Amino acid sequence: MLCEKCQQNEVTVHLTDIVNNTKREYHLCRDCARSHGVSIKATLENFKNLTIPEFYSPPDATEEESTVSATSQDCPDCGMTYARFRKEGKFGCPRDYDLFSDSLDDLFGKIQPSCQHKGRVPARFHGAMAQTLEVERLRQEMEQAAIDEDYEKAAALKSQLKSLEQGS
Amino acid sequence: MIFEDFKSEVGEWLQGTGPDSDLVISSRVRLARNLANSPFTSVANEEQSRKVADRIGVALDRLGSGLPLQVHPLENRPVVERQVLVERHLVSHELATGEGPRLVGFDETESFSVMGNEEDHLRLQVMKSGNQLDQAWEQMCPLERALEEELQFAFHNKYGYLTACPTNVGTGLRASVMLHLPALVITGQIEQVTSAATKIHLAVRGLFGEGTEAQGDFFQISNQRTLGLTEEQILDNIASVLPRIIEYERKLREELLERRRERIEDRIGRAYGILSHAHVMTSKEALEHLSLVRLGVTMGLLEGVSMTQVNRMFLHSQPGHLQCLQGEPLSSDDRDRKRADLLRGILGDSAG
Repeated sequence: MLCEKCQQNEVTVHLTDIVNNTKREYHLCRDCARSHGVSIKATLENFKNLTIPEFYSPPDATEEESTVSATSQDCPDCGMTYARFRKEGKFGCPRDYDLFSDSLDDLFGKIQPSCQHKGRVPARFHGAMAQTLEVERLRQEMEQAAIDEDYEKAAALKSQLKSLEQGS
Repeated sequence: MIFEDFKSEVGEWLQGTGPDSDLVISSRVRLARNLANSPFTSVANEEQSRKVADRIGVALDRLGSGLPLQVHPLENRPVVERQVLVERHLVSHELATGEGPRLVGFDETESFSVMGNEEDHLRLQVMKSGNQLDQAWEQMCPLERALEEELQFAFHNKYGYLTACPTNVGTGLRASVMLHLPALVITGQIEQVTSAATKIHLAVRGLFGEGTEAQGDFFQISNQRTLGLTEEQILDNIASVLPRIIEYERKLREELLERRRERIEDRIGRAYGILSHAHVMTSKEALEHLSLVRLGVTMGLLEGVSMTQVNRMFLHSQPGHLQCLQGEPLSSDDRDRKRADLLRGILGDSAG
């Protein structure tokens, strides 16, 4: 099978791309894949660790990455930087999730249906988690009320939220 | 028993039993968990990894009082033995070939297994044969709870269970079914299944999961989404598409019998002939013929062969098992010869 781009070399890379639920397959040779931003070595070693958006982000840091890495600090626990996290696609320790949280919603949003965990909760988190979910529910209701221009309801929900978040 | 660690020739997941086992080989659920306040495996130093492995070892010992587990450190195990564990789906390729203190634990049925210091500190897995995803999950829940009582897992109110890779965060759940879909492949319809699955955010992969190409008409379907859904929703999503794939494959098998019986019988017969008479065979070739022989057995076209034989050939012809059975490391050429001997031997049992 010949590379669909250059029509000269044998295909060595089969790439499956899914954008907006539409699947597209690429059959490329090594050189064309590389010029496409896909490095074979990195693909072999890291393919399973990459999310699709990461797979497509060019090897050099994008604007977004450089601004974030400049503002977010390195992790005091594990030394992870945001730039390294984006490059390797892996967190270094649990704390990184809080340190990089400003950028995570965008990143997770590309592959996950929502950024709020809805599954099992360890026993020691049951109380805290119930409150988090209640806050999230009220917040969504408040946003909807604002969209519906029901400002009275939105204001009531806002004060409800405030008291809940203050732990009263 | 040649593999002294294992109670039976093949693990529970390859028994060929359970619902829809004519085309659902096995069902698997896997949970990723990390210990709170410890760096993830990839950045942990030797001492930190040792501590994590020790803590997991102690927790597994306690768990072992209810469910007898064999726990083995992996770092000093010979390469071939680690390969055997990969082939039995008890450890991942990554754990088998990694560095530093790592461990594996599994019960005697090889249904439940635990990996220590994989990409995440803990990877818990339950595998069952046939279409039994819900049963696998039911078996997993108490085991995860029991371990949680011993070990504090890293958890976040928003992001759920924290994992090294963002593709596992939240539930940490990867649910998958391994399917044998030869009729869909023969008739060129497999693409439709793949695209239907990807539309509902499921991944379709090869025999050994992530990063592997489909071989011998075996496919693994698993969830891609792990955050923002409950575990039940993730399982239901797979369960929603599975009956349609099963029905489709069965319908195509029937059509093949009706319209192209001679052709399909010929292909199956040739595959059987090669497996039972060849003297040199690569593992890729073996898988392709085994796929057809398996199809023949499930369609009642190969009466002299049992599913037990097929599953034994399937597992024991893989490189690690083959070398373990021989008791010595073999070159690639030697393996191809010994593989052919093994397959002839297993099929000879039925002929003789």
